[in-house]
Amino acid sequence: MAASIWQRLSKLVTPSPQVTDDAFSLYEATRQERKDDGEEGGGGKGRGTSQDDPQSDRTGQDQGGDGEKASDHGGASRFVQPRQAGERRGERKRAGAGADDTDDADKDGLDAYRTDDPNKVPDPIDRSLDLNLKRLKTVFRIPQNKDLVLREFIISRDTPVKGAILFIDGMAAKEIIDWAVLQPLMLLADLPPMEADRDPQLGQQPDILEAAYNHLVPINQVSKTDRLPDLVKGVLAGGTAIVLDGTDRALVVETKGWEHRSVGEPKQEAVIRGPHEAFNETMRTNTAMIRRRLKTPALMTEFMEIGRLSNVEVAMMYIDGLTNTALVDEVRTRLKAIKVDYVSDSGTIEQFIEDSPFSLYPSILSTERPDRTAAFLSEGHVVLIVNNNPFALVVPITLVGLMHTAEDAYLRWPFGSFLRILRTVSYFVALSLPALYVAATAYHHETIPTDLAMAIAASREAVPFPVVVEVLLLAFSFELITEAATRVPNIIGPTIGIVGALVLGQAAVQAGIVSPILVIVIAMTALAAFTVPNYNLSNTLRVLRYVHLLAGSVLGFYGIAVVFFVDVARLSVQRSFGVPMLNPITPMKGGQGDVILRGPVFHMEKRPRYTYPQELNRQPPIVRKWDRTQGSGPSKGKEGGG
Amino acid sequence: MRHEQIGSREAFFLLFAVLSAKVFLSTPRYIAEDAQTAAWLLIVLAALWAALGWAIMVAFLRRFPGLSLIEAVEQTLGPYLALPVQLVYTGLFVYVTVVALRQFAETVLSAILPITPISVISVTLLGASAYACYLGLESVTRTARFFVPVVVFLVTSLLLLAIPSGARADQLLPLLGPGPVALLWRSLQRSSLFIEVLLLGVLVPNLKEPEKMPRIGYQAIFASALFWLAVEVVFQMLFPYPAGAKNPFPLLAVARLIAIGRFLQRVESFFIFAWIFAAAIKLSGMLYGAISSYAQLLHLKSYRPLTAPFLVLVLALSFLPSNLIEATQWDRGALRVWGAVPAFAPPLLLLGIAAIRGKGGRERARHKG
Repeated sequence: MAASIWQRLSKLVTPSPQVTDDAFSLYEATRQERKDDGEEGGGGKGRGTSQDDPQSDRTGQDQGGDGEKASDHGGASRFVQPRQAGERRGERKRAGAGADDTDDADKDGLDAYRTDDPNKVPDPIDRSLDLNLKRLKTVFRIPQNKDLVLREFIISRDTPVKGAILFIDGMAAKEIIDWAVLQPLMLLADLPPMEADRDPQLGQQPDILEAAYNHLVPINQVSKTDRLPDLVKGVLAGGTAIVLDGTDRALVVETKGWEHRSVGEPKQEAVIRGPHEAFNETMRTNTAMIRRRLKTPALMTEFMEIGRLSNVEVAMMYIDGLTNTALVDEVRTRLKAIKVDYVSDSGTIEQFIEDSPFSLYPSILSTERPDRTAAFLSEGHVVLIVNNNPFALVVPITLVGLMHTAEDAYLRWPFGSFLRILRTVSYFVALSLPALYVAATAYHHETIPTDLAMAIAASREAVPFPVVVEVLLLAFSFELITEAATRVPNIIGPTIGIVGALVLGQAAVQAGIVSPILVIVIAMTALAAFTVPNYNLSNTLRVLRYVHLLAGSVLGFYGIAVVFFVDVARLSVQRSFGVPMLNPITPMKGGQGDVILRGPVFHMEKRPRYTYPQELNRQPPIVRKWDRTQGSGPSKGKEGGG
Repeated sequence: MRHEQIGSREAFFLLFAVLSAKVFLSTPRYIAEDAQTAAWLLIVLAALWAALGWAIMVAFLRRFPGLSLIEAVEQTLGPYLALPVQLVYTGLFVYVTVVALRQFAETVLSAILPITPISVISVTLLGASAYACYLGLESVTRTARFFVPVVVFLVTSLLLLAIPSGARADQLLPLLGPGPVALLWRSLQRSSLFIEVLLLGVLVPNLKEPEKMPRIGYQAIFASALFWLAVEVVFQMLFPYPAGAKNPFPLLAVARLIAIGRFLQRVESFFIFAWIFAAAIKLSGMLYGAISSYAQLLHLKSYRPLTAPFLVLVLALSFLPSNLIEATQWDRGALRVWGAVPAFAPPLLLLGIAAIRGKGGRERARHKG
């Protein structure tokens, strides 16, 4: 006991070398706030003077196993207390400033710069390079933060000027920085000043920053700024900041140059006829791939940053003058409403902005195909491209839209229609076949042709389980195969197929666990599910299948019908950015032969009505004017639309 | 009450479904008993009578543009005198729902799930319908729009597949059945078969194009009469009326006759999907009619809180008939004989009263002006 007290006392007076200033200042703020709230002493029984001594509290953070005990005694926990949402370190520190402030950073007023939100960095850039660098070091936590490269140099002129560049290692292209930033500034800066270099505010004095902008930094995207947040954001985005002494402005040079995947083939939406390129993780590559297909100045790309920590760029694309402005406003509003610290993936953003977050059905389409995205844009949809993500989000969307593929349009219309019919049938097979099998074998034997009924009965003779258990066993095994095949390392991927096919199929039948006919049923269901082109929708089917199975096993066909009715009733009120999901089936909005069937492209004169485009017609009523056999030749047809 | 807006086509599909769903019940049988070989003619005549009734209703409602039947009654008679009339309409909707629920539950029971307790069927069927109803009129009408083509397709295929199983056109003769006078009188009574058209009167404020309300009503009456006619004709061609009169569920009996090759036999279970979809739409539509009319009567902002109480009420009432025969009698002997009186007589009287009291129409417009 005495040893323990001694140990604790010795820790109280010995500061721990492992405690960072960061943690210390955080604790300082917490402690000061407690003091302000009048909590001091209330829960601090037995702590004595330790509460007044920041040093002693810092040791509290390093007490290892004693930490909890210390906390029990009313002292500070060994962990920094979590802040409330919206609170900033700087704010808390400022709140506590003036009491027993011993931190050097506070003396220079730098604490406000220690924020995790670039937008919260105080605005002005100072004329003193040293002060600016101090602030930037505070913002980026240099030198602890090793990702940042801060290179100071001197520009050799009649009056040498001190300067520095700042960039993030790995995000910026070093060759560009070396040859297009540092070399001209360090070696070529002694050129005679030009008239354009004179800053109007400085009179006849040539301004070094203007000189750098005008003729020293030969890079296509350079921006001047007098705001520190812009500088910080530019660096975070892969740019390089150039800060010079004696000027209250700075340059942000576009030097993005991180490693990225090249444009590859689509993984989920492969086609035989049609382009074979897919989005990758670089947003600018993705927007360019769309713009390559829509060469119109009306194609708009608006940028937004989401996530206080992630600050991920989201590009909202639409066609000005075509896309309904109310839709664009709605998408913008929902994106701006996302107030989170971290969000990086389009899948997460989708959950923040979708209409029915508790529905099983998706109400936003994600696609990895630029051609399909461009087609959606041309129909009046809004597209979102999220940086670092190879999927574009398309809104609004309908259930039938989720069942379409890019290839439907590229094939001649009879085959496009055939594929759509096939997929529609597959949808219902994937949804209900196991349930129908269970219902037919358990309740409605009479519907099965006699010979088949006898074959089923014979095959089930050795199986000790009821049909529903049999189905659940096999369906669960199949889910395991699917999940394992997705997660397994590529090199042993084929093994999963062999294990699935042989062990779970053939062996299970031979062992008398399942009947061979059921293997066919589940295999057909699986094949049908894979024909559903949208990944989210196929997941919906995966789950709903079990609901149908349950209903079919309890109440036969009647149960399946009731569940299906409820499903449609629920779906009929689900919306995607205000558009009913069952559109254009109900409400009927004129599908232009592009619903379940795919009509001839030359008959699709109008855009989908459900997007309420500003311009409904996309082509004149008669496109094939030369074709006299179709009754739409020049002699019979009428000009119009457009 | 806040009104959800529905399109004319959606309203038509809903009305068609609530009017036509009775072909799946025992109605075609007792029509055959009533009119013998001229059952199809009785349907045509009954539809014409019903259209006349609807014309009276339209004449009354036109005096109060944009107002529902319930609101129009209140405008004419004032809040206190209107109450009994409004309650009659709500009661009528409840009665139709109760009878339909019990009969559909009995159909499911006898057709495919003979040992399942009827309460399970009733609760699930009405629960699904009430859920659609709770989701809103949009859900009810859109679900109808979604399923009606499926139901019509299934029934048409059923009829076409059954015709080869011994259909004989001569079983439709003699053409006039029991004779023209009896036919006229019975068809007047059986105009009650179309009283579900009242639902449209309650939905007037919900229509995007209320001026199309009369047309939707006529179209729905005649489209459902045509659909029913097809069923009745095929039924009578397959079952001569003395034999047909013994079938409790005629369409089910027709489905059981289907035998194409060795593999397409006894497929009535597959057609049960059409039964259930039609039943669920009809129940949700009529339940909405009941709840919505009551909510309008009470001037409630939302009808939704009434969904659960009406669900319980309808469910409890549906268990009152002791068996299928009694439930059918509630339908055949009461609702489909006298139903037209409370449905179409009040509008005729109210039309007179409104004209005398100067309510609605040009007088109302002048007052407002």
